Amino acid sequence: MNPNIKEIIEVPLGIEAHRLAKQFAAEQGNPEKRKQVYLNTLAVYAVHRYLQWLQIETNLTKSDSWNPLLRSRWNVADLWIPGIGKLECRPVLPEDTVIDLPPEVTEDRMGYMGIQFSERLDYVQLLGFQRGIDLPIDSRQILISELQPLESFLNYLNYMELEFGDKINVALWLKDQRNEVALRLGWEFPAPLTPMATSGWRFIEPFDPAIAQLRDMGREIPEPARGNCKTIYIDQTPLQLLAVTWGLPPEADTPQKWSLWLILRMQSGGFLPRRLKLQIRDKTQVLQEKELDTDELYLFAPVVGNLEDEFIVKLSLNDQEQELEPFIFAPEQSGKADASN
Amino acid sequence: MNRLLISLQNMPGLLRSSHLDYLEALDLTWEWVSRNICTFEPRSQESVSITLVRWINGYLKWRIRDLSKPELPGQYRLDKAIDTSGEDITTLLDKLSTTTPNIPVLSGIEAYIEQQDNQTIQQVFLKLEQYIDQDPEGKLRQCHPRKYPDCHCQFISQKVLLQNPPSKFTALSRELGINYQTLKSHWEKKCKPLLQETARELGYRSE
Repeated sequence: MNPNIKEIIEVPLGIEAHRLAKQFAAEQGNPEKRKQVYLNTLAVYAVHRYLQWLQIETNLTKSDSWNPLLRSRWNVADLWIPGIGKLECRPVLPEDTVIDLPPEVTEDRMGYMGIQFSERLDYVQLLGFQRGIDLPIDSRQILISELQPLESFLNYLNYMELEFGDKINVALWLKDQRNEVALRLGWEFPAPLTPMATSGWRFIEPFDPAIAQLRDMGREIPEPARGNCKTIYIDQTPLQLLAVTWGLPPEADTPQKWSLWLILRMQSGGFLPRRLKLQIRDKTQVLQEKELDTDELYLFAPVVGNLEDEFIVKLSLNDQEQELEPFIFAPEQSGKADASN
Repeated sequence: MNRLLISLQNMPGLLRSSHLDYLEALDLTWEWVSRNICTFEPRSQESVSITLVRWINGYLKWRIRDLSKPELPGQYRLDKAIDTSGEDITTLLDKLSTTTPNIPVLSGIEAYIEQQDNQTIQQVFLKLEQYIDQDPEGKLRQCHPRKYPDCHCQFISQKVLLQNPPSKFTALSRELGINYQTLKSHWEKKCKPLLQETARELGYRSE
């Protein structure tokens, strides 16, 4: 390979990019902030154009960097990718070796891209990518030398769309990984469930009596299990759903299995409404169906599946029904998104 | 496709130009190439790379020509893009040492934007900050999820926008005892549009 050939994609920044950058920067009150907004705008615009080349949909107007008030207060360079989340496009100046992350960009980004600027502002280079979930919480910096090639970003987009589009991969909970898809769909951060560990996890505590009751009935939750919670409104009734999962130890000649428990309670703590119905099915058949005909504080439903199984939960009450995103258990897939792992 | 684009960008013989609309045209060209590379047909009598460069350059030339035509709706004009309001353009360009007109260099950004200072909008932002602090009509305090009266738009905005450094939403969700996702969704769906609307009422107009 010719050593003079650059291995990095270059995006031209024409008049339109600079017109927007100038317009946004002119709204700022001091020179330092103006320069920040100018470069952030160019970085976001460059990635937006690159993704347009590849026919990947973006939405500038839904990005905080395109919101006049937010960009005036925050140091943001995010680009909204529908169905995926916010990609942070951070400018990298000629002598930079690290990308500084202001606190406002560290919470909800699906990933970070380094955008290399040089003295001439007619082109930028897209240096590489870092996944949000790989970044320790409260990280303040990314080393430029640790950015992954752009292919890992495109693989990650495919992975998010195809494998995880709207599915909850509960295997990620067991790794205590931040799971952007689950967060987007209203789930909390996963938490351990052993009696010692539950204190401090506000969302699990209300389920303690239910878990104790199940334990008395001989149903134990093993230590590696993780639970997660989501609020569901059905017929204007706020319910809390706790999902608990763990992998079952593989036995000889049987494939790896996983366990999923679902426990429902009223958010207010009272009795669940009678006639509330919970159905769990896989791709082919209904596995469980429960309808309340007595006053109950909790509704419990356990299922066990193989790795390829997918569980779909449907709740119904008074002719209203709601289907949740399928639960899957794919322990290998978190690494698949990034070829470098 | 990424690898292919990198290879194409490095092909010798690609048209380079200092034409004002070249960068814009090149951007459109890479988009077109990505979408249409599957229709490219090499000619048997010459090498693939020569035909490919000719194919790309052909499109690029036409895009430059299109963009250069004045008065076409949606196109950019040199005379529009330069702010001529009382500024001596020649002096300005000298000062900025731009690469091409309208494109500054990195070390010249501050001076470049100094000429464009939009004080009207800055005033609106100041008014909006005061508005958030005072909430004169009680609009912001009334905007909260049904069961969380303390989680109102004024409080969130003060914490995440006015406070320096801004509070994180995870910290705020702990402080308010509200689910992170409920808080974020309230911010995105209710607070942001309300603040936008307030900014417009206070006089914010984008160019």
